[in-house]
Amino acid sequence: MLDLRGVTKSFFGNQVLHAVDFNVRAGEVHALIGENGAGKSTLVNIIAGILKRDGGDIMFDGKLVDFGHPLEAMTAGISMVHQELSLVPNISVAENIYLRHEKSNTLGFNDWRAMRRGAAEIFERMGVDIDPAAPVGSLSVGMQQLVEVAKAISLNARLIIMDEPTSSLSEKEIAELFVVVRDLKARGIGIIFISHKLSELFEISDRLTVFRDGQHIATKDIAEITTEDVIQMMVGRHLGDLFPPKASQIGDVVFECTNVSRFGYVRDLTFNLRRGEILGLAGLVGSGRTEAMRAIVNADRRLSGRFKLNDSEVSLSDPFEAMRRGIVYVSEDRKQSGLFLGYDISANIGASTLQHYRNRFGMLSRAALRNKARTYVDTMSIRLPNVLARTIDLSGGNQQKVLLAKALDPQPTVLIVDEPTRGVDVGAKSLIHARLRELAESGVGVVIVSSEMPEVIGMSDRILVFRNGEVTAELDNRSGAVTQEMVMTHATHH
Amino acid sequence: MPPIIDRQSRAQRSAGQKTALVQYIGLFAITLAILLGTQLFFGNVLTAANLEVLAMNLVFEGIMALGMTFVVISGGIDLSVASVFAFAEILVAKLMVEAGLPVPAAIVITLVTCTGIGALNGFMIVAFRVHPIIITMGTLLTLRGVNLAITDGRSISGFSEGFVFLGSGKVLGINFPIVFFIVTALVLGVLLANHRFFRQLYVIGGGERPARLSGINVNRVKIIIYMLSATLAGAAGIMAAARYGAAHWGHGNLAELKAIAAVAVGGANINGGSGTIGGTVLGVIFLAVVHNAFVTSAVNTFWYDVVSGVMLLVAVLLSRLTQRRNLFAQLRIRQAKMDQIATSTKGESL
Amino acid sequence: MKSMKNLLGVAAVSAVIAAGFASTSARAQEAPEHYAMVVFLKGSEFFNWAYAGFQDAAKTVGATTELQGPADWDASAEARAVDQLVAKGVKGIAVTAGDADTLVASINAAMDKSVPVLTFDSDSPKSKRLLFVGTNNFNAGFAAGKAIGEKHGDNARAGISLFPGNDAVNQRIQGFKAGLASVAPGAKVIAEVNDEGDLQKAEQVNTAMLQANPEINVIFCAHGNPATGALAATRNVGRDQGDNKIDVVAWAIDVPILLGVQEGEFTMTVAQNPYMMGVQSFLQLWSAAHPTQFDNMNHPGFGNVPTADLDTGVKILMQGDPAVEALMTPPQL
Repeated sequence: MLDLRGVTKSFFGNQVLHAVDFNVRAGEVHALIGENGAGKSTLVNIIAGILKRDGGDIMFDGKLVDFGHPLEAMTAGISMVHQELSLVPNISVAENIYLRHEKSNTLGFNDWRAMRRGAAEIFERMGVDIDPAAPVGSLSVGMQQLVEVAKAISLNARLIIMDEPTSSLSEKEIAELFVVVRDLKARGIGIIFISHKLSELFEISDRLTVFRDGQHIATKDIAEITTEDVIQMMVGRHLGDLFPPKASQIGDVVFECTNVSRFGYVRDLTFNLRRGEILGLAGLVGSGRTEAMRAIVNADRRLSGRFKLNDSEVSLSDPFEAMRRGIVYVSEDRKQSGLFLGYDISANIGASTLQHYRNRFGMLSRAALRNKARTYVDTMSIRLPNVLARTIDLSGGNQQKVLLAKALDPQPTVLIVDEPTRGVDVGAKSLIHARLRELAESGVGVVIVSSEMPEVIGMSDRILVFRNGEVTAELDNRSGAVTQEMVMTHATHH
Repeated sequence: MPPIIDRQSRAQRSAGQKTALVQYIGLFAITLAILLGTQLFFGNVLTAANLEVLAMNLVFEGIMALGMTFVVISGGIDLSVASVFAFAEILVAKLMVEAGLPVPAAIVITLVTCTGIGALNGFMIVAFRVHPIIITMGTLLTLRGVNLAITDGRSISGFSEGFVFLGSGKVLGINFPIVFFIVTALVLGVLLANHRFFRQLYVIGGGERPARLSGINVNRVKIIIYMLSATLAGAAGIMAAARYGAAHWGHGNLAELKAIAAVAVGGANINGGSGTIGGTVLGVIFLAVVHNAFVTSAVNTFWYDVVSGVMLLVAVLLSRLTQRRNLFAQLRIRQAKMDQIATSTKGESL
Repeated sequence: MKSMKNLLGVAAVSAVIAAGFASTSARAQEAPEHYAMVVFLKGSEFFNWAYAGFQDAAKTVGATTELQGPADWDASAEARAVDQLVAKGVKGIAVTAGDADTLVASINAAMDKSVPVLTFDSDSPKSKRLLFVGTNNFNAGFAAGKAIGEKHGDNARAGISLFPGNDAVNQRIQGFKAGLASVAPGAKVIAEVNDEGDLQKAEQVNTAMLQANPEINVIFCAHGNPATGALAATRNVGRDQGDNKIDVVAWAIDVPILLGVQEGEFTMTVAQNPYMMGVQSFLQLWSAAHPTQFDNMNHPGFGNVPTADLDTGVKILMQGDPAVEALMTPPQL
């Protein structure tokens, strides 16, 4: 019923879909799987009319379609259940279901009773019992997911896209959702099901398509393949010699944290970090890696946690204290919380170390700051259009280098970098990797958080795998023996 | 498989409705208590004359608050209403007194001009993606300057009997502006509660991204809402000119803050997504009664501003508190899920 | 359970609020007669003086008072305050009109309900107010002109700093010219400049005036704003001291101007008498509220008040006048 041929899409010159073919049959559950950034979400957003494709054809029910707006896709019979829910918490379940196709009279006044009755009928068909008059905000996430499905049914959708519908559901709620999905399937509705949880996909889907780096890798009947095949296809490439060598020598424990918890995100995290070592934190998005690191420096308030730096207890009550003691956290979000984009690079690099740049009158010495910035420009190979350029005018890679320089200026003993190479070109990437390794070799303990599994594996001497706010595995990678399959196994449910 | 039963939503629905109801009943009870208290201690409160004065005291701000309710629910704010109000006074007066236009023509032209100002507000907000507080503050200051410049700071008076009726005439024994306020509140209240166009405001105020995903033309709705707000402010200005028998640039100074205060006290979330006309009407009545109590009790009026400021702070803090509670509830769900998974996977090999 | 608790809280809060209102002004109710003053720019020093006079006069007969009105220029808020005071049942209201026309309806409504209303300082002439209590601008200008005439005689050559189109300013200038002529027929006003009510503009236009007319030896400021600018102009042409000093006549009782008078920078300032406005406002309201055997001639049913406006007069303050010191001590409210 849905047939995509040669669909392409790029953002800001960065191609995220390379001439992709994809099809869905009526009455099947078609699983879509791939690493973060493989292009799954872009693809389904194009199908649902949220994004415009750059090229290629989309056929729906044998007709060429071109949706300019989500509403057009909805009227054509394609609905999407979003990962972050698109429901409005303050209004009722029934009103949410009939949003933009209200049951109303010719003057536009809503017929609440008809809408509640309609919603109740849909729920009855789905076999769920949700009060149509309750505000959506009072429902659990699982129930909200079912309301989204009901909304799709109310639109007479014949193709429903579910973007990671189970990512925030409990086991019981997932089971309930699957009952509904099977029922939809039996009615001949096609379903695209995106999930990271392989076991689920094997349980619910008929066919499975793997995406990698914006390319369609394979589409297989579920009966033909195994979990191992899928992981192999997802990971694909081999980790070349792109990464610097592993640690030559690992020293004593420099930093220890015990029972770090953050309400709703992180549970009893305990680990240690050695001098000269790079520790990688792997896991799916939302598994709590970033939250755990932010909780360590108390950038987000933690529930509990004790810390030892060089064998003495430290409190780490805020990021500034952490920095004073030599623990520097580099945020994953350089635009929002990492850099002052409107200022030149010397202001950024010295932002947390201004007290070191004084002239003999005790005032800020801009000259000293500028000299220091110049040395970083050299060591980090930061490419500047001109010396006084604002940071916003730099490319992503150079911005990331500035961010790293800013973190290095206080001379940290522990450096925690979150997504050190996100949105960075290949050249800058390997330079940043090399500098991080040099830093470790000089005796600093380095923690790398990354969603890119090759990066975590390629860089780290040891890897902690996160799932649901907890560490599920600790893998020794001094020999480079860890594979993506091993990490994936611990990062996902089975 | 037995049906999936959601007991939680049924229980919470009644709880949620109760909270809103308690809020309104509470506000009403405080208002009534102040009214009765001042009557008891000072007298002369529950007289027809005083109640009329009480209502007329805040009726123009009340009319502006009705439009403001729509703006606030959609997640915006309109600071320009006070200068649109004074501008409408001056424009309608100039059209009648200086240009010699008949009353209906002057009113229609004035209202249409105000609607245009609202459209300009809305257009700038959606086109430049600037926070409405900045855009409407710009309009507020610009228009105040215009008001001063086109009148040289002098007032305009000398209106016909027919026009003055709009300010101080009585319908069934009630002043016309109050009748206008009641009728407008009823009509807008019904529309906001039941009409599919106005229901979109709650969606937009709840989050623009979901609104766009649901296929709502967010920009169009926003522009229309600012038009509505400016038109109501213009209508209030026309009636005010009639009521005072003069148009003057200084009239309605800070009315925008009183209107916003009424909306906030009425329980609307100032960040958008919630609020009702009923709540706003209660908020207007509350502010009017508090002001009246100050005059009746002859407490040093320098304190009035202090108390109304504190009232606003309390209202805003309350709405913030509710928000935090919602956020915490979401966190609690996450934590519960983590706990559940942790127990269910216990024993699984790492 | 929770809603019950909320309701209890609400009840408690209301009780506290009601008690608060009660305790702060229970005495006000016992007082036999209560009068009110309504101003704009509430809190300004000028109207504080006026209210102090109003209050002090009320104390002499055991009456109580209150002050109402906006802290800005919004005359419509004054109109609402008048309405509210009438509804509350005060014995009389003195109002200074932030805008003459805006207050007409409210003043008339009050008078129709037999609540005596008068205007002070700023009049609302189209209304039915009993009378206006305030400075007669012609007389005030006359006093200033006469003082200059007495000092310089026929040699007085005056320049005037003004902004056009304002009735009060025009009357002051006419009065000034008449006062000057009354004692020094040979004296002349040789230039008038428009300062637009702005300090910097005043310095600019007065400097130009002095350069074009070196014979000028007096600058008369016809309103409150330009005095400091005019003084700066005399400094610009080097005639702020010595034998050739230009006499600057200010029209204000702000503390900086009074200090300038004390130090001899300003030769004189025209001091209005807001305290007297307050005193007279109260006394006339009291009189209007207590009818005697003869009815009020203009307003039957009210007690007797003057049938003409009441001029509270001005004082021409010069260096060494003890009143300068007195005016610099703000009134007790």
